[in-house]
Amino acid sequence: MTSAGEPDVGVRVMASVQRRRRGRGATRTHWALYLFPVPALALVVAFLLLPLVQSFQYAATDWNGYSATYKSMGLDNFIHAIFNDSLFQNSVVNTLKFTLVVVIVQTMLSLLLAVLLVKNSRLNIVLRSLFFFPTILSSVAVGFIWAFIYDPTFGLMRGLFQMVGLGALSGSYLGDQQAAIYWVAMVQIWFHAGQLMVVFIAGLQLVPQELYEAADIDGAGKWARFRSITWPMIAPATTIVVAYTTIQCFKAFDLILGIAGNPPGTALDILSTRIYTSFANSQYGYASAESIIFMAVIGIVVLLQRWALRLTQARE
Amino acid sequence: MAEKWGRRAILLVYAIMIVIPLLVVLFGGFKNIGQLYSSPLGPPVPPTGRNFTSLVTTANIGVPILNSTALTAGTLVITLFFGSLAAYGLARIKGWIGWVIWAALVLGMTVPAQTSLVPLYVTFRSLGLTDNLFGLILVETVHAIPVAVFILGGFMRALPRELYEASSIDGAGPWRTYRSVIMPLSAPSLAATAIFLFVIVWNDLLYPLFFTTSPSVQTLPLALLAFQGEFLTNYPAIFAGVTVASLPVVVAYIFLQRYFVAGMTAGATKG
Amino acid sequence: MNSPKFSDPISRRNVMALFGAGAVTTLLAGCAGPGSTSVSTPAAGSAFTGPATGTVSFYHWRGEDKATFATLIDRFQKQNPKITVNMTITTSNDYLANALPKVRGGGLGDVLPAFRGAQFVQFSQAGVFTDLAGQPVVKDYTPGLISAGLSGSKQDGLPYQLLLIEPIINEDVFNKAGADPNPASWDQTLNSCDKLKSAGYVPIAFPGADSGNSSQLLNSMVLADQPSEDAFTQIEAGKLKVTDDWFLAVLKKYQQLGPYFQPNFLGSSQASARQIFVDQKAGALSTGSYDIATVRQLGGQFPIGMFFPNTLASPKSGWYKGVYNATFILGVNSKSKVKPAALKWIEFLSQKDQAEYYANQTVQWLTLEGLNYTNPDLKKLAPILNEKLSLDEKFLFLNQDIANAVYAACNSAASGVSVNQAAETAQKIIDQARSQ
Repeated sequence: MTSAGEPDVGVRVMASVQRRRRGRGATRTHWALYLFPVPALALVVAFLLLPLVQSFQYAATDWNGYSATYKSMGLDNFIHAIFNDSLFQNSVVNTLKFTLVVVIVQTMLSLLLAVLLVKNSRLNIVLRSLFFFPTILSSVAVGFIWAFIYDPTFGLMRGLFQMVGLGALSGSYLGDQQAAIYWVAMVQIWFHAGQLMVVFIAGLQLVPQELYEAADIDGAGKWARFRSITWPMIAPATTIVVAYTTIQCFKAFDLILGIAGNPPGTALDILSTRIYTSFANSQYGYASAESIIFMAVIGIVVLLQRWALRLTQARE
Repeated sequence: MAEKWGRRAILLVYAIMIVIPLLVVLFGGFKNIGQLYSSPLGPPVPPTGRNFTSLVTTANIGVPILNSTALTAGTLVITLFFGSLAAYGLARIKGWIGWVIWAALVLGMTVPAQTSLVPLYVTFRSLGLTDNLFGLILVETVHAIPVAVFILGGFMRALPRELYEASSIDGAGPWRTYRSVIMPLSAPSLAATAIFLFVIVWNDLLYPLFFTTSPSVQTLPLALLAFQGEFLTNYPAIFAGVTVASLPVVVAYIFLQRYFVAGMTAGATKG
Repeated sequence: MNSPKFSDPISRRNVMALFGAGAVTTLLAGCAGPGSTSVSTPAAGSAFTGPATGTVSFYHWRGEDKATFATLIDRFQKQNPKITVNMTITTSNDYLANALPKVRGGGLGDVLPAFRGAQFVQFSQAGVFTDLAGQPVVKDYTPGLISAGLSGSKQDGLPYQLLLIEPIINEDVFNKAGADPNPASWDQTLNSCDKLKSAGYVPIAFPGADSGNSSQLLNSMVLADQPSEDAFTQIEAGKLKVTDDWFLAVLKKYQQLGPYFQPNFLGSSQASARQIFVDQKAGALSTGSYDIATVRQLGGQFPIGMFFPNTLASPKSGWYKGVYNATFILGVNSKSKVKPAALKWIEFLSQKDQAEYYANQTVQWLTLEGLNYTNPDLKKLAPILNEKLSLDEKFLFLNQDIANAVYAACNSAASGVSVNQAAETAQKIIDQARSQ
């Protein structure tokens, strides 16, 4: 069976072999084992965790990245960014709009596609590979493609609107200050819905068929079956999809630069591009403060989502 | 019946939505500017190869292809080696030390890259590691290692305890167990990790943009971004570039499709 | 405390150090606190002595001129077999926003231009350039035109290109529509647009999605209403505001002009707007003379002229006939390790025959003296250079966020947003940027 929707074959086989808990033969750890994680740990500590700490240190200064002197700013950078910098506020709002739309629409779409393609028929497998395909392209390339499709004079999107007789509604897309971020959200969905569809397919294939058979005996309708069996049973997959999608959205840096150029205009400026702009303007201290706020925003969003998801996943 | 057709209609529409932008690029690379604007979707009649030859002659696309290949290969080799070492060690180290190390690595993964990027850049600058390929490999490796440890660790913890114990009874030290027992068994999850990281590193723009400036160390995504300046949104040239830059990944996808899906799903679910 | 220089090759010791676990502590102690990088002042005096050899990185934003520069590089390398020139090109928006941190280490841009105004000042203050004063090459240039490359008494750079920064037009279309390309007042400007529109053309193709190009029009639009020639500097200093009456009047004019741009112009890239012009569907293209060569390359064969959107309330004698700019201020990077070779490349570009080749191929006038322009477009449009021209003022903006806010205000006024609202949005960003 060459199922395209099977995650990590090896892990699952081995997972069944395991289950016999450890701890029995509690021999002491061989001293040489402590050396094994050292290279990985050294790199991560030196180049990820230490810079993270330094980031807080930088954030309290006005250092410009090259001069020998700098002023201590205390919390001023944070205060300025949160309360007085409308470009930064704008990028937070754009990031949240983008993430909200993508998380909701893409999760629903990829679940719908997964439900339609869950059976391992030949056609379904072909379609899965096709839908998955955009994921492997580079974001910059995807940005270029869609910048062309959204061209208000020559682009395909305008042609599509005209074809269905709505030519008058065709706008300036990426030039539309209010809507541009949603047009890019659509690109992100085109780009990654197929990848998360596969995660859902893996989740769906783990739902025991007996549950559905029991529901059939009870005479449950389609929606009731979905609501009371499928949705709660795929909760782990949904959690993963939502969290991963959120992080992907916050990192949409490459896609934005590909589609909007560098630097992007305010309508498409998101947190990660804003931080890069500050960095490029040699505001190292300020960029660090922005990036710490960025981390906090991601944290809050992920926690809120967990909470919201859990509410819907409770079995009735 | 209606439901069956409804399903088919949805799938067909979505398939068209996926295919059309791809066709625009594929055909577009073989058109001149006038052809592209007058018929964005039509096949290129007559096709021109000029965009592709100019990639080689004027855009010098060979350099970024080599750089991206070296970057991806270097990152993958180091990451898989260090990552599997760590995953193996952590699967066997007992007690709180193992947990502390594990927690440090997990923390490295959950922190968004941007947060540590500015200080990291300054460190690299003072070490002379900006603007060269080795530094770039190091940056990519540092960010890839936690992901690799995570995916591989999930696998190695799931290995039966007896495997480890049996080989130590045979008198094999941890290194030999790692090399001759664990590594061969881990081949599928190593492959999955490799593919997940391959797609990410090959397509990455963030670190090359921050950490390099010279054309001699330019990677493909950077070269693509530079096309905006070099070709001034000459879309046929850009589309030809997109086609060439995507070719290695697309070819790999065609032949290794199943592993791609498995790898990228493992990356999403465990990474 | 300081480790190897920016572009040093990696030594084996470096590599070993990085991987040794013990090195972690060294790293912690050794580097990367704020302010830990030292600033070296460029050595004074004999910057250009020594052999002219090596690889020269030439970093610029002129994608249009790529092929021409490539030919010149070929010729140069044949004459100077010990020098290689590597060209790196980026978009003008990217160059304006991101060039400084990239070039200040010296790994990129041994020879590099700056935009006139803010960027040049920024580069000079950051010590990016090497003083060229006293070099023989300076004498090749027209003295009045290279003052933009002076920083105090230092000749930090040599402005190379001379451009007309106002819309270019398709004269056939203007003739067919009976539109006047030389309006003497704002009413006449609108009247020309009206005639083009009634004849079924897009009066002005406008690259609204590309701030670098769409903002060129601002130079013409402010001329009649601005209280002083350094109005943009004063906006940045907080002495003038975009909510002042004079700027509201400018925005009002944008609002009147908006309906004469192509539909949905806010989403149009430079390429898209240019294609409308090449397809002969537009009367004018709102960029500048630097776009002529590309229009020709894309197959535009119609006669090209210039269109100066006159903003006067009523005709006035002795008024401006257009806007010009002397820019692409070429200099040598103070961190360059191949300064003599870098200077050689600038000298080569300043030689009469090479400069003429560049000018005629790329359809640009240059600031060098005594050049012979043979390109028909250059010859035809050259008389405009003798008219009274205003110097491009928008490059006086030093802060990119402020500049972008002002440009955005113009574009949104053109798209129909009320002028007060557009101005207030921009002023808010300006105030915040100033308070930082």
